[in-house]
Amino acid sequence: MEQVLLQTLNGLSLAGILILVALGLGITFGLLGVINLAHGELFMLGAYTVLVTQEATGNVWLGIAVAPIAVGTVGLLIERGVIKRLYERPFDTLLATWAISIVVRQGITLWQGGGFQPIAHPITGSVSILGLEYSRYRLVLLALGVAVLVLAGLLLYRTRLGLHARAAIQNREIAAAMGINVSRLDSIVFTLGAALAGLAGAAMGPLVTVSPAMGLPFLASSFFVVILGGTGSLIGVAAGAAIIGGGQALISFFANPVIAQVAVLLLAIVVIRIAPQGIFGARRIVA
Amino acid sequence: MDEGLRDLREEFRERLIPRREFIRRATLLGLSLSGAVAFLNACRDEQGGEPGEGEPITMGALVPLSGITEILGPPMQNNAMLAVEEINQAGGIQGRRIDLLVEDTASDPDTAVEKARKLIRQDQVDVIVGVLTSAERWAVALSATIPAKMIYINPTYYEGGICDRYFFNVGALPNQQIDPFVPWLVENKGVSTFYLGGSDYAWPRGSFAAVTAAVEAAGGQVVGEEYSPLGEADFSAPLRRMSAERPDVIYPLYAGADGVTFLNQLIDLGLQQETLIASSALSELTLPALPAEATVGWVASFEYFMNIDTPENQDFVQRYRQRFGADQTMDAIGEGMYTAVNLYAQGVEQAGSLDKEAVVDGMLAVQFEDPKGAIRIDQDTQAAYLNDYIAEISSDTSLAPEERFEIAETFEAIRPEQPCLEEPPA
Repeated sequence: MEQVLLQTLNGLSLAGILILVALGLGITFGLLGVINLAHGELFMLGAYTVLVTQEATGNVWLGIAVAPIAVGTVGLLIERGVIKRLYERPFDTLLATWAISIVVRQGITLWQGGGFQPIAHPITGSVSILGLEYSRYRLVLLALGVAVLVLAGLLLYRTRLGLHARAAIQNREIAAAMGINVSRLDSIVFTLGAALAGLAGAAMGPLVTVSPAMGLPFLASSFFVVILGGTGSLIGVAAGAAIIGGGQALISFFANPVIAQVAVLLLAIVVIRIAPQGIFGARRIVA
Repeated sequence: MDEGLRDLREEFRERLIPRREFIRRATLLGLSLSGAVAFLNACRDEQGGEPGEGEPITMGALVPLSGITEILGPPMQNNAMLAVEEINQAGGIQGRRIDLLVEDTASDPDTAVEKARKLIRQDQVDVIVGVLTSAERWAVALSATIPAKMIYINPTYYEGGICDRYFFNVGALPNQQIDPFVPWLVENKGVSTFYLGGSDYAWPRGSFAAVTAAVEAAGGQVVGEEYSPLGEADFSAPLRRMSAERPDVIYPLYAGADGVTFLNQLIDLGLQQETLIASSALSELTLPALPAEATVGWVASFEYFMNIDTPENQDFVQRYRQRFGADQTMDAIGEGMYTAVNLYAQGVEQAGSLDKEAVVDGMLAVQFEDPKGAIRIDQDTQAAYLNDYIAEISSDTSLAPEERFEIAETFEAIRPEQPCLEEPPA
């Protein structure tokens, strides 16, 4: 029983990170209809922001704070420069973002070298929860994931910007006709998604391998989270992340990691078969 | 969708960029592209070196320049280039220069086989060197080089088992890297319980079989063994089990980036404070990615370290850095490519011709100095006699990572041993 508790906690900390990555992806995919294959690279840029900040100032926390701003700016440039011209051409967006991902990855390789990079561990060691040892940093990650989810919820359901965004999801043309500046909204939403990816990469940096290719596995699992939870739904993203992250951690503890990976993906297939819109997927009004 | 809207957009775009303007831009783009291609070709020609009198020897190198093991690829490519350039500058082999063709395996067995077949059929190379992972190695050997009777030299330490007249191995076999290492740990570190964790494929599985046998022979005990899929991002479950068992030693064999992810999460939990981390996969390329203080006292075993204190090796490292940059590092696999290229060159020199059978016999007969020690080939396994170096990570964190591998013990000229297998170990 104790082990179940502990592994659930472990799973949730992974879910915390998946929430951060998937939320960014969910926002751009669900709200803008953009399948952003460069999302993993934005995640990677977050980690490299920490690396560069750490080299300059020796402070990891500062890096984690700067990352969403830096990566958000990159996101804004990508949206203004490329994606803006490609809305309503989803297949071209797919190709363009894929190309961007390669350019960014190789650019980082040229600039920082292709090798593994070190990020200092800002907090190490474990705390005792109900008599069981638990990594402190993972608890921070979990808290961060939840906090960002709550903030995103407030933004989407309690602000004017959120209202406009939801209106644009439901019907882009009508929203534009009602005087909402849809183009500006697109930029803001995409920038936010990029900033979240950057934050996730920065926070996850100390726990994974920082290298130009580090974003790829996270891109894949985030897509599963978004598809499983349903596009355009915050609760969906949270539920998807909890199922994928938590399920994987639990099964990999009680069976083994190889079975866990297979089982979780099988589960995703079954869920999508039963509920093609995802668990909490909003039925989109197709224009 | 809205056909009307689309037509309107097309018309609008036509007006924005008139046709003549479009042609002008396309021409400019075309010109600059062809300029870039010409420039790249010019760069490529530079590596040719002095032409010899005879027909050049063509050598194919299979290297992972992308995919999960991509960071290990550049040192492999550099070492092959350095060896080839040195041979060409010295006048080639019997007046023939070596042309090196590098192909990217994308860390993927299928791609590696495809590239090997391309080198064999299209480029008609005389020899193939390279690949990193055992999955690629078995695939290339079984599906490409052995059926084509192509000479293939492997630079990477691996679990062993490939036997063929045209297959040569200059990387360490388990009896050269693991068999000396485990008893050394038991004796010098006073450890007896081992927990083994690795990626789920042939190299960790085959190597752990050797580790288990060596641990039991040394009077120790393996208290856990487990595998994770390649590309794993979360090692909390394996780490939890390891911490629950409280072993004396954790012996990780996770491939490429997974190795660093695993160790970073281990350090996050603080497991290294009570457990010795020992591995035959902790290299000069892994260590820089870990917090320096956490790795003090960890132990590694390889056939080559940059820190080997011989004049030959110091000179080699200096040449390498002169050629590729003062901050460049490499691991045993990278250096293995240098050995592999030189083994073939020595074999041709010995044979006096490019005749395949004579070259194979030549390689079996030669003996030469290499940065990692004297190299000669065992007749039975067609693998190299190798030294095994055991290194402890220095507590001096101000040193460069590759200089923190303090050689604690050297086992000299270990004869390679392996069983012959029909397929990779599962």
